[in-house]
Amino acid sequence: MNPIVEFRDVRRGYVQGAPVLDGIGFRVEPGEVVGLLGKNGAGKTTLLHLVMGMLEPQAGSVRVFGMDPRREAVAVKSRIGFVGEDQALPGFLTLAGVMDLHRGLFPDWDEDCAQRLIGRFQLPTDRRIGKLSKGQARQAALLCAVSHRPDLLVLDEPAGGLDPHARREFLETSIQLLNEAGTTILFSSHHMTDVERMASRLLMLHDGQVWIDSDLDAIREGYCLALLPPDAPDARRLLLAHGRCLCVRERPDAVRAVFEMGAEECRAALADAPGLAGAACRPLSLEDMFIELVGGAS
Amino acid sequence: MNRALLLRNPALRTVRRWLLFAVVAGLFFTGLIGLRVAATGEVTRAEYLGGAWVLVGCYLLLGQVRLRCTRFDLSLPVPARELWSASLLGSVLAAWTFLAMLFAVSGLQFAVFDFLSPQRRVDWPRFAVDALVLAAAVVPCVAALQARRPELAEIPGGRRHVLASLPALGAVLLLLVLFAARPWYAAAIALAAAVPIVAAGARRVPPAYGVAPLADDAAPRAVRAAPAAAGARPRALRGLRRDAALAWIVVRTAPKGKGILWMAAPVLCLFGLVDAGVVAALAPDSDLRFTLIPITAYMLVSITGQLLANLRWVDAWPADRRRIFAPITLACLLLFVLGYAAGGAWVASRPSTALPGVVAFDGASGERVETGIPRDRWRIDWDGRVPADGAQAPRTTPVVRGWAPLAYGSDAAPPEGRGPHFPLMLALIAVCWFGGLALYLPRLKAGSRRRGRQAVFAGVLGVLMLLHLAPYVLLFAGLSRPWVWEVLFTDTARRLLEAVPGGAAGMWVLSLAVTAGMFELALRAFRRTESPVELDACAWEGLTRGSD
Repeated sequence: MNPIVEFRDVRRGYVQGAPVLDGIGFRVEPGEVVGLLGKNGAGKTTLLHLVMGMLEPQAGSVRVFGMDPRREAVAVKSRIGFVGEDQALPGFLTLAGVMDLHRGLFPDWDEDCAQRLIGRFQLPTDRRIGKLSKGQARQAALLCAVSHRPDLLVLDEPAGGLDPHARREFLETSIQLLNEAGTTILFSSHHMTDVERMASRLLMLHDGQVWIDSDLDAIREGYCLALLPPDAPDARRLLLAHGRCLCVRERPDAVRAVFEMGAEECRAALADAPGLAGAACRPLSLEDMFIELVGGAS
Repeated sequence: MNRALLLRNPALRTVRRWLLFAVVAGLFFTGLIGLRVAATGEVTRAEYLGGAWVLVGCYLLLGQVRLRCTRFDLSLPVPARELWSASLLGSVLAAWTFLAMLFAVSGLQFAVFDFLSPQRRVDWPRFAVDALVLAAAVVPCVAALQARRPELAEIPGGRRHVLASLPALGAVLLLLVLFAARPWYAAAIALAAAVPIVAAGARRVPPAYGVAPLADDAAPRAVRAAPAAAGARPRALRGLRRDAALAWIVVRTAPKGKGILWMAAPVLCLFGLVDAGVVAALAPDSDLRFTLIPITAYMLVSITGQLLANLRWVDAWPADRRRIFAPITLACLLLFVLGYAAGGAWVASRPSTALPGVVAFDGASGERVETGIPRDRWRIDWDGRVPADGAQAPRTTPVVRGWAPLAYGSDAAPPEGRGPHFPLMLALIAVCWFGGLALYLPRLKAGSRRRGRQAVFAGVLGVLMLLHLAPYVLLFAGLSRPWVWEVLFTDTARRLLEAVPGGAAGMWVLSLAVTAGMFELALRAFRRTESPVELDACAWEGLTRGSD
């Protein structure tokens, strides 16, 4: 089966000599829900804009539905629903006006779906987008992004700035739509709970590279945190010398290291390692892992 | 007064964008004054002050005078009174800057008139007094405009703001017109009136500014629930309506889109009128149609270049770039053509003035000579020899000499045989306009340095402005006589026209082909652009290179 999205050695930056994405490659298969994680500036928005054809890669190739999203922009974009980070909809238009435009832009516009979402979100269609609350504007954007039944939904920080209730509503709608149509979703978020709820696969970006590309279940089971006393001699060097140690973070209370193996396996492995025998190993939540990796790497 | 607050004043920070408007408005205003002088021999002070005040009033209405401070300023531990005084002073300084540019352009043109027409000297002391009177008139007007909604950091804009501002602007206009004979009285009255207005404004300054009114007087209408879809057929925008909607979103959401729209429509129509020969018909020795091509292209590049950079809202939609490019550029062209058609119709409706006199200089002696030959019959002797004069009247002599190649009057090509102006003008404008866009648009890349983009944009505009100003520069430098440039332009243009086989039809075909070719070239460049707007709009520019 052809991948929905395929990146090959893609490089893109904004300043010469400082690529935001530095030769990354990955594939997104049909029906997958991929969550993008990374600290600010890691390149999540850049990656999503490359998918949308809104940016041109400086090297490598981006294929969406097997097409170049820059050269065949109309064909690609007509199959994608997009909600940008800070880009809801033009504020001077009413929702009805935006929907009129979308009906003309997307031949597969599903009016029933749109009306159902208007009812569900209780959106006023005759009010300007700019006059809606932030949550309502987001919901309006989501409505426009999904009502043409896209094959790929691209969400950039979809629930950013929304209160927990609005965020839950937003995500549930997305998940429901996914279940209905088997839509592929590629989204970025800083909310680990959102990622854990929605995503089946995780892509973590760091230093312009895909640092982790794995199923969520595999991440939960395949990574652990090892803790050593802060006064353990030469702990950092010893930990980093271990082949499966991803990063080390020295804190006042402990020296913390993320290992690419389960907690039990890690405990057994470190028991034999000189100087690391006293390490306590425990499973990691996604949020802990993000903090440890990002903090340790920096 | 806190200097940092003053420098951060929104009006002062954005006034440089209005200087372009001041240049164009000043050029046209002085042109109109010149026409008035040509027609009646004199322009009254009331007319001059009134006209200039209308331009200043446009700035005061549409500029950023209504913004007292930024939201960042509100977060600073600075009393509102200080913000208010910085805002008032900043707005007055901004308006004076605008006025200064207006008078600088006007003064430059008057200097040209002075040079060209030694009998009619410009009254420079009067010019200076007028500038000072207008500068004084600005003070009470700004204070009055700022008196609205004293509790807010930003006076709400829109129609209501315009309507509420008109009395203050009208009162100052009345003052200037009524006391035109005694301009110092007008200045004194204006400054005296400013004192109580400023004092009243200062008294009304609240302890702290708010960002929104307590009770929104633009009360939201009752929100209607989702419409009952039963039986109602949803509307879909397709074809031209969809393209127009896309273009409208680009224009409407562009930074300063409204201002550009307000400026573009009348200015492009006005350029159409002038290029159609309205000025030439009013003042027969000023057939500037072809010399105005660079400045026309300048306006088109500056307007469309700014609009086409705004892809932020439409970039994620499956719309071919042509659907955005064509409506925006063609709408601008249409405005120009409408002006041209109106001007052409007006010129055609006038009784033809046969063989008006032409003022020219004899290059050899430097004396002014009346050749008595209409300028549109002048020729440049590219081959180095003047053909034998076989005309009955008017005579082709005296030949105007002075700078090779030689210009001479000729009636060999009567006006009716010259063919239409418009096709050639369209092709030349298209080359300059779309060529300029083709150079600038590829610079629109996400992450490209804003200054780099601005440098290219300014470079393209600078070349066009240089082409426009070069004749005047050469004139002042003593390198060119006034007639040479016009004759050079007109004659070159006519030669190009005459070289096209097939007469008028051939010219139209060639012109449209050139226009279409240049359009495609610019469109190809537009297809390569990325939307850089979010990077520029982001206040973090310099700290981070992207929104991510």
